[in-house]
Amino acid sequence: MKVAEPTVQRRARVMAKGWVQAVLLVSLFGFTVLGYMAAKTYQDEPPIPGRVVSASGTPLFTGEDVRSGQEVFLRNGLMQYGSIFGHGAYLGPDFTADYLHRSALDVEKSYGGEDVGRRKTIADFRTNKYDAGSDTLTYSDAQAAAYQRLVEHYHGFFSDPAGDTGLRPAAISDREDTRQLTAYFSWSSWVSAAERPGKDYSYTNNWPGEALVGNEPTANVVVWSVLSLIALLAGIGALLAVFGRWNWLGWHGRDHQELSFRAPDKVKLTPSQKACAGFFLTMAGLFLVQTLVGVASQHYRAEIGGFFGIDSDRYLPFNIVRTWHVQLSIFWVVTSFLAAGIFLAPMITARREPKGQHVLTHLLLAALVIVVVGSLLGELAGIHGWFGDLWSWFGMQGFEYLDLGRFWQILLTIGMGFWVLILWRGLRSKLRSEHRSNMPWLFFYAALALPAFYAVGLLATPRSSFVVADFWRFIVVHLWVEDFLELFTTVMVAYLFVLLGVVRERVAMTVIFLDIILYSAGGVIGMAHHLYFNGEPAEVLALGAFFSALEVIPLTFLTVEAWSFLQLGVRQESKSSTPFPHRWAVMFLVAVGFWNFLGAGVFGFLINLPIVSYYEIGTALTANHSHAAMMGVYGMLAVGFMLFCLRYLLPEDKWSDKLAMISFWSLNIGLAWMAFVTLLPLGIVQLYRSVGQGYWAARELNFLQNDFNLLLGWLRLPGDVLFIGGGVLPLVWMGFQGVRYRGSHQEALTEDDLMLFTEVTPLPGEADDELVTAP
Amino acid sequence: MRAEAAFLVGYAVALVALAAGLEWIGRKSSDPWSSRMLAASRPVDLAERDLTADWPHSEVPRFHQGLAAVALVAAFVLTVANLARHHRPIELVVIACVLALVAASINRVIRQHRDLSRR
Repeated sequence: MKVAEPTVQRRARVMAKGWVQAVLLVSLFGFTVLGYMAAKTYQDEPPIPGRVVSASGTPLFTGEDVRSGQEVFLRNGLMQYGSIFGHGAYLGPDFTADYLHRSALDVEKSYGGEDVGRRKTIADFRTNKYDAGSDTLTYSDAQAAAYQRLVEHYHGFFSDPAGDTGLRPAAISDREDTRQLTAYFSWSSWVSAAERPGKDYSYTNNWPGEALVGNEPTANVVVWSVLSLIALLAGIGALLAVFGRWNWLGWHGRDHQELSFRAPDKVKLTPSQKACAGFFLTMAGLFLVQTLVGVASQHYRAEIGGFFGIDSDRYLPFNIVRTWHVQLSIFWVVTSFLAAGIFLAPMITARREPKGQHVLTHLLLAALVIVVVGSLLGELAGIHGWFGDLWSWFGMQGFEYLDLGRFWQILLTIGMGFWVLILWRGLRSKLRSEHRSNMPWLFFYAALALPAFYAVGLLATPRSSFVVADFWRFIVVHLWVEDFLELFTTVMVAYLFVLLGVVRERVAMTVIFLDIILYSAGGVIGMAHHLYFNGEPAEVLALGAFFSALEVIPLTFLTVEAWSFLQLGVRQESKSSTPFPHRWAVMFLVAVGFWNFLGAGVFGFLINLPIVSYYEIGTALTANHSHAAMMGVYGMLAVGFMLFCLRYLLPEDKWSDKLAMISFWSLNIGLAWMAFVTLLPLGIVQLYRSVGQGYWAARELNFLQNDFNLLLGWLRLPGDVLFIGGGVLPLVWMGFQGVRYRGSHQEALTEDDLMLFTEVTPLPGEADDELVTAP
Repeated sequence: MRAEAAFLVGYAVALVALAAGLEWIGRKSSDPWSSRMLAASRPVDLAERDLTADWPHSEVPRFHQGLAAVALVAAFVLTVANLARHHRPIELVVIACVLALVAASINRVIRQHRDLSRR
């Protein structure tokens, strides 16, 4: 007799329909506005003139020179040395401001100096003499002479065999290259001072501040700063009122279940979970290298030519160590997230995993190592010009954070797609039985967003105009890193607590839905806070200022309310008859809450207003925010995930709470020390100088290396030593132990083997006591 | 008083204030049942009150105290550096006052740390 195959019944939707609709509507709104901004970027980008001539008719450079100049700039890793339109690294000058200042000084001098020449100089720079009909831009003869002189200046700077710039000696010695590079700088400075057609401010909203050409903050910059502040205050007020009054999330109610955590060595693991050990060792190793090259890049500020007398600029110049520092910050964090995702999947399904899952996991790790090592070495080889015309494919593609060659970029995207496939295989049985808005699907969607949004970075090509390339670049830097990684980690943390039995599924899902709603409004449109001054129109500045202020609201919410969420769960420890095994993983999550508020919220908002950003972009205040937020939030999360997984991978007698504690305190103290002693005060000093003397002055190497700033730089040393020695090294050791003992766990065969807690015993009469989750 | 000395004095005082703020936050209960941080006009459930702070809430004061201590040691180091670089009479007086303030704050944190460890 034939037995009909049982049809799998999907579990009903856990959340009310209204939540799903709200998420869809808010996301639709966020991405529609993002689409509008993308359209404006293409419509209103500053033109790259076909040719630039002097008033007397001498050809100076062409549009092709500008585009090729950008390629020289990227190929040689100059965006990881100095910056353009304020975007890039902070040792070298901002080349837009540097060119503008030098050329304006020249022009003013040729017109007879400050008293008689200032007004004429301002007129030269501000009058937009681009003729769209003939696609020709005309420089005054004085501007043309300044250009010719600066071609020589920049050639001398980049081809200097003595080095002493932080770049390798004679970094760019080809005359054609340095001429095109100067053309690129010249175009960017024209864009920053010439008035937009029909407006009384420049293409870059008058950035950078430069008295010589009459560049000062526009009305938009000031007004939208004020409105941005109001949006913040009103938003936080609304948040307090709504959540306080209605107890939406329901975790102010009391929970009555009792449970007993299973000792980590009683939890059996699947082969793919054991394979994750290699990821965590790799993660810790990459973290160590990231901090070491960070030290090397910081050392260039104190000793421009090398490292304690060694000519390190010949082998590892500043732009290479800075590139590696920035790229590895993403690589090591993502390595942890990928592994944690794979580790969690069998616990979610609570079933035996499909055959070969561990083989795929090993393959993913191998691919990851190949991409990381290949791309980093490619960048080093790239600045030496070893790849010829294929430089942007295998060498240094050069956009900060998207420095890796396109080949590696595509491989990394495919790798993440492969990871999603691994998760899909692992979760398939569970997904089939759940409504598409339930937690396993949310986990899967959040994972799927990672390769999808990373791939957007491929739209930025070295030939794209900078404004367009920068827009797509920030989809990766902001939307991918700040929003989608945030979403993925929120889902992960929420799921962890559900799996540990300490948080109800509905509460966890409310957090996830709320996170998406809050970030889709503030975070997605707020991306434009990176685009105030790079040639985007004022509308983008306005949207960015207003909506990015709203980003602080979820940060406040996540800090205060989600803090309670984390602790609400772990609080169960006191009721459990067995000890809670994840003390230090949770402490790292506690640190995430703190740094989310201070590093992302406070230090981020400090530089978020257009009027502050106008003066501070590219100073140590930016570095202060990025370190406190990237390491403080994602770094601590990555370490937290590592400790969670290692707790199961390591046999009980090999696990050390003490090492975890040392790492916890060393990382937090080291990070706080770096911010309080060096980055924050240095940033304030730079901001002061930028407002007082002009942006170029705050970025000048002479100023960065004056004895006071050097003192601030050296004072961070004890904190850095503690961070690496006490914070990172124990993690490397624990990662190594994880690989060494990964096989000692019994293999999971049944559903029960994968459970993280047992004995859910509601108190008598309170079995149905549900949390209140609606107003 | 020179600008650099004045800046370091102001910054050190700001760090002392930050440390005091961190300690204050650390003393506030973060227990979801008793925290009133986002409670606005939500009425207090009497049953919520008997719950004592347990882990990890018990760690909250320690974590904030630790970071407050970092801020204070940073203020101390920067002020000593300030003293080494600037010692006109007026600068000496002001910097000495700041140093006393920082020392008193460090002393307070150490005392509180002892109290916390004894509990």
